[in-house]
Amino acid sequence: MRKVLNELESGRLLRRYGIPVVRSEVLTSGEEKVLEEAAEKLGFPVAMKILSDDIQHKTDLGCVRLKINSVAEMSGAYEEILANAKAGAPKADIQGVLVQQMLPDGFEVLMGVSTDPQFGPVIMVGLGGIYVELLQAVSLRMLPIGRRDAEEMIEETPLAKVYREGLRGVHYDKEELTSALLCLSRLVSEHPEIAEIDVNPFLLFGEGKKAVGVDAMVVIHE
Amino acid sequence: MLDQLFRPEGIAVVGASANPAKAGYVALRNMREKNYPGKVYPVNPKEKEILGYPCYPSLQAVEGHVDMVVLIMPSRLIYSTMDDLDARMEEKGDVKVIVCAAADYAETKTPEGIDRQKRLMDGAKRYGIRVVGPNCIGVIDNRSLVDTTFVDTGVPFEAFGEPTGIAFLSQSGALACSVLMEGAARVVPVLYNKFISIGNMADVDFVDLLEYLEEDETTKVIGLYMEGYHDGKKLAETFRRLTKKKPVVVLKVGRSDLGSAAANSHTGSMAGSDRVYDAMFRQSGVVRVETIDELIDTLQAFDRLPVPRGNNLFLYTQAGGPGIYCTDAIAAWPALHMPVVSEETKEKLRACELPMSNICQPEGYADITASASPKNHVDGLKVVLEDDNVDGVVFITVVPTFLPQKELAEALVAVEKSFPEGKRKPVYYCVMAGAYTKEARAIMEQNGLCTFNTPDKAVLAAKNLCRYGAYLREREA
Repeated sequence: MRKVLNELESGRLLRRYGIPVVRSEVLTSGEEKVLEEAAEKLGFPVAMKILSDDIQHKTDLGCVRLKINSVAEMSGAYEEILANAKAGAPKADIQGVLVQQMLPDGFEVLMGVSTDPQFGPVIMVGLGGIYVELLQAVSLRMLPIGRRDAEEMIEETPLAKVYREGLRGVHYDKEELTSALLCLSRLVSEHPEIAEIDVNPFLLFGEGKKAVGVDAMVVIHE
Repeated sequence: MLDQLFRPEGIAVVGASANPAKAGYVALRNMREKNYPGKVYPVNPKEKEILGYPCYPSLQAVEGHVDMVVLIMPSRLIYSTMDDLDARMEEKGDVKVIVCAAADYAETKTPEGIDRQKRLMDGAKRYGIRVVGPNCIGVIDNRSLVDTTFVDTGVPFEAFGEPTGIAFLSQSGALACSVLMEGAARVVPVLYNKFISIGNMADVDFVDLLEYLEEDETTKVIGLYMEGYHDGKKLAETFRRLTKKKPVVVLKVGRSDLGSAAANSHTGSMAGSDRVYDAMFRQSGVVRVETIDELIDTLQAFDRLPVPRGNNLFLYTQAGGPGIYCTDAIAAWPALHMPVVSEETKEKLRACELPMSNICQPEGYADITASASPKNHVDGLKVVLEDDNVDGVVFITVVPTFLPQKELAEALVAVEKSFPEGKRKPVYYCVMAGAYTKEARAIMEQNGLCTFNTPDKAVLAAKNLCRYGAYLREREA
């Protein structure tokens, strides 16, 4: 049996192992006081989406709202998302509405772990975003990995050039990604029940601004 | 136990034939030609003798000691053959290993094929006999002169040189043949140290043989052709341990989705995701090659050349075009770097080459021009090899008609021999000009130098040695 941890649980687990993941709060009420508190913690703009293990295609059902800039907008979005979820997936078990920091555009990297039937857990890194399938510019290793493996992995993808030369004048710090890969390796070593991890995108901003994972998902064997 | 696979005292061949067109004849002929010093017992009820070996009606009837049985008869005869073997084992108990060359066993995935393999394995297990195959071409050991294969390389045995340090394992019989035959067709035919086609791996498999070769002192480098292996973790573990001692070069197929599907239906193996295999090879220090040519080139280079201490590869050429072509080939590999040599080296080079030579433009490159004499060739090479910043050299010569090729070849051999063993650096000699330069290449090869006919092949071998060297240094660090 596979169990998919929700965004909130996935994020918490990754953060505990030192992998930066975008911060989020769960709302179970649309009261103004609750919304204000969440906005205070996260800062505007925020994104809001349905939190439900039963709903996979949130955007299609109208259960995602982006670029929200005020508590009033949050309140509207809260009601709308719940209404759309009830209409689109009447049987779904709804855990609440997730409010998440919205980040500026960054360079999109993909990190992940999957389980190979012959070789066990395998880690992957490469170009992320919308062209993942098209470019398949990724590198793999069997877990666990050491620092040298992590560096070699990056070296085997076009990311090597991005780190070496920068991209459109922006320079990135390779150590950020190297250490995130090592953290993933340690996480899987200490939690052999993990079947899959997907962090796509892991956003790089460069110039000293810290990278952060968005849309993190962890799957465990049960 | 696998010792008997490579050093049997007596070999019984079931399915031995007097018909030169049959596999059961060629296997005997190979052993006859190599003058295998042990006993050979053809089992054939209809013949009196084949190639001077007296025939026996059954395994049970062989009086002498038999530690290896080769099965080349049609697979449908496996039941009566195994009954015969049972009778022998109850009486003498001497057989230690079976090489089942015949096909049409479990790899066909038919109930009949699976049942035949079951009969073979049940019998073997009862007496603790190890089995190679079925569906393979067998085993060669060119030191003990065992050859159970039915491959005719077309090259007489005396044309081969000394046995090399190359061991080769193949999951495919036909591909093994091709590696054997391509090796035999080289300027100086390659004599593999040990050569094993493992087929269906019903018993003896990659890991068993890798473990054996790990300890085998005559094996310096191991080549593999593989489609897949069921226990990925065990294989990775074995490679990791093994590559610390000796290089492993793998030709693994199934890169494409289609190729992978073909492999699955082929030896009935689990092909697995090729990307993960690729990652495992990199993590385990295994050198992965893409073609049969690159496989043989790389195995020969590992056998003959020292592993480079660094990635600095100097390109020393006697012709501009091939030099530029080769520069592109080197630049394509991040593992290779064309080094900056010392001012002293540059001065010495200018002094020993012709005035129009290009010395180190770009760095790590010298073009000594087509007018260079054998002396220009070798003096400059020696200077380059003595520079501390050079870990290896690609040497290109097109051997123009006015250049005495025998003199050049002998002079190059002398340069190589002037370096003591510990000071040697790998030189990849690209002697272009096809059939015309066979004489020069033969002299060089017979003296342990590594030659290639095109620059890209030389660079591939250089890249593979460099990567292995880098892997070893990183693991030590």
